[in-house]
Amino acid sequence: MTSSALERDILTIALPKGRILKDAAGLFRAAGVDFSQIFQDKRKLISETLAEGLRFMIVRSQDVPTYVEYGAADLGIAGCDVLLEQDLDLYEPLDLQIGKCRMMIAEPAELAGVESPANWTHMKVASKYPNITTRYFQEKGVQVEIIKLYGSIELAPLLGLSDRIVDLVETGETLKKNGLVEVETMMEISSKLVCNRASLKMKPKRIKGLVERLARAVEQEG
Amino acid sequence: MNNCPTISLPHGVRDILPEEARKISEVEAKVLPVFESHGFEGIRTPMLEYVDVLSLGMGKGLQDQAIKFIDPSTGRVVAMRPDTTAQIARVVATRMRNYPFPIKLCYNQNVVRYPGSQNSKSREIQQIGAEYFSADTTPEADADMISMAITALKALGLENFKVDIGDVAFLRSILDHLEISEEEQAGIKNAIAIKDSSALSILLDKVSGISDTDRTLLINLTTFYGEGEVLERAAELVKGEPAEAVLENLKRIYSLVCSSGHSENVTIDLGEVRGFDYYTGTIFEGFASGVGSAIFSGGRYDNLLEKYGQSASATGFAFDVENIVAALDRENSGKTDTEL
Repeated sequence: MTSSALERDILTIALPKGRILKDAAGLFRAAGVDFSQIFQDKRKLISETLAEGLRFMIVRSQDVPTYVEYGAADLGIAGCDVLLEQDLDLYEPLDLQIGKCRMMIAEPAELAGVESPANWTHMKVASKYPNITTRYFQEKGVQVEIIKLYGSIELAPLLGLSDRIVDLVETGETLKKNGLVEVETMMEISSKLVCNRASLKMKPKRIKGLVERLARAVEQEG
Repeated sequence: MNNCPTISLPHGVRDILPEEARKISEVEAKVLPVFESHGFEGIRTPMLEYVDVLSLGMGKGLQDQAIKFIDPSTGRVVAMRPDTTAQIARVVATRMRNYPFPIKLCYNQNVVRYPGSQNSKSREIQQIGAEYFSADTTPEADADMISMAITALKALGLENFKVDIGDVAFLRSILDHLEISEEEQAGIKNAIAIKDSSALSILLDKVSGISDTDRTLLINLTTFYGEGEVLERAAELVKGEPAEAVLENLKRIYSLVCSSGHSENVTIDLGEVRGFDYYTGTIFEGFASGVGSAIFSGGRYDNLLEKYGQSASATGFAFDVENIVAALDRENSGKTDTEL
């Protein structure tokens, strides 16, 4: 293994498994990081580029903030949805403008127009995001019962599990196919670069340098 | 069926077994003499306090984190102390009001808090801290406290650590002269707290009446972290009082700490606005390699004693003993790796 002195100069970056990974890799490439040796073996979850002193690991997107908060990774890439839901103490120095989508409220098409959002008082909402959902409806003065699901949220109203859903939407295709319509956009979502507090203080130059390179890459890609 | 109750502990508390207890004792045995050699005397405060008395000195953040219950004998709400500083401020302003300044006190005791974030670990935190009360606010006092904290960490044998210095009055002084609503101020402050320059520039676009100079300065605050040159970069952008005075004061503190031989261990962050509501000026936090959260934190709280009926300048800090033990473990395991 590398000696501890070297270890200190390596930046460990947690990347989310799934759809964001490709875009994230694209940004690092645009920032001049040689990604050719990274994750060639699909089963390997950790991979380094020694020339840059960067170590990448692939974890579940919901776990990225946890790795970074505890300092197991110095930096990470996480969606605003995950960050807002978990509300951890992290720096969020850069909006990467990838993984863009919307978080919205949807309801069965036959409910649309029957009850306007202004008259909502109480309802059941299925979501992967209980905290965001509770906070959002609380601010509107609506009491909600959250049905926490881990996937296929669109099914919940069809089977009478909930009145409405809160979920991420990219194109709206899945909603349509399941007889749901959008009621309200709650917020725009994109992925952000997040940073552990101690890492930023211990390695300010390296972190600032990488943030600046990625910021330029974001501008180019945009 | 087993009729025994499940033998478990409430969330966030734990037993400390001899191996770890020994490490904690070593930390105590090395840190407290450093404080004592700087003229600090030990003090102890009670675990329980009335919430209304504690609330005089504590902001909402700490109040919400306190574990509270109703005292059956009086019907009053009592809290387990979530913080020692406010208690010591109460003691100094009341029972010790006839003691001459400067008053230097140190302590080694536990505080109990509901964790702030979901992932947070301990509810019971052992802190070794020091508080310094004086008639006037001087950069020398802040620099002495920071240097003493560094000396104590070095006495423990810790090498790879940084003390990050900032000042809550810096951002406040910039925000105060802008004509914007409290809500807008809070939004800007929150974005700067997490160094989110993207959200910050969107916010600033929406707010009217911010000059280009102020806008540039605010956006730059998210990158004003690192070594001493940050102060020079900031000085180029800062115009007018009181921000200039805050910056001058920080420069003085930074150079005093550096000239005490600690230049390797200090960094600056002008965008740091975290910490307790009672902080009024210089704030500082210690970080070590491989430990994700601060190993100690502190700052100036010049308005806190007034809340208890006496005015005095004050600054102090508290070591998080668990995190310091973790930092030492981490560094020691690194050393053995290299030797192998």
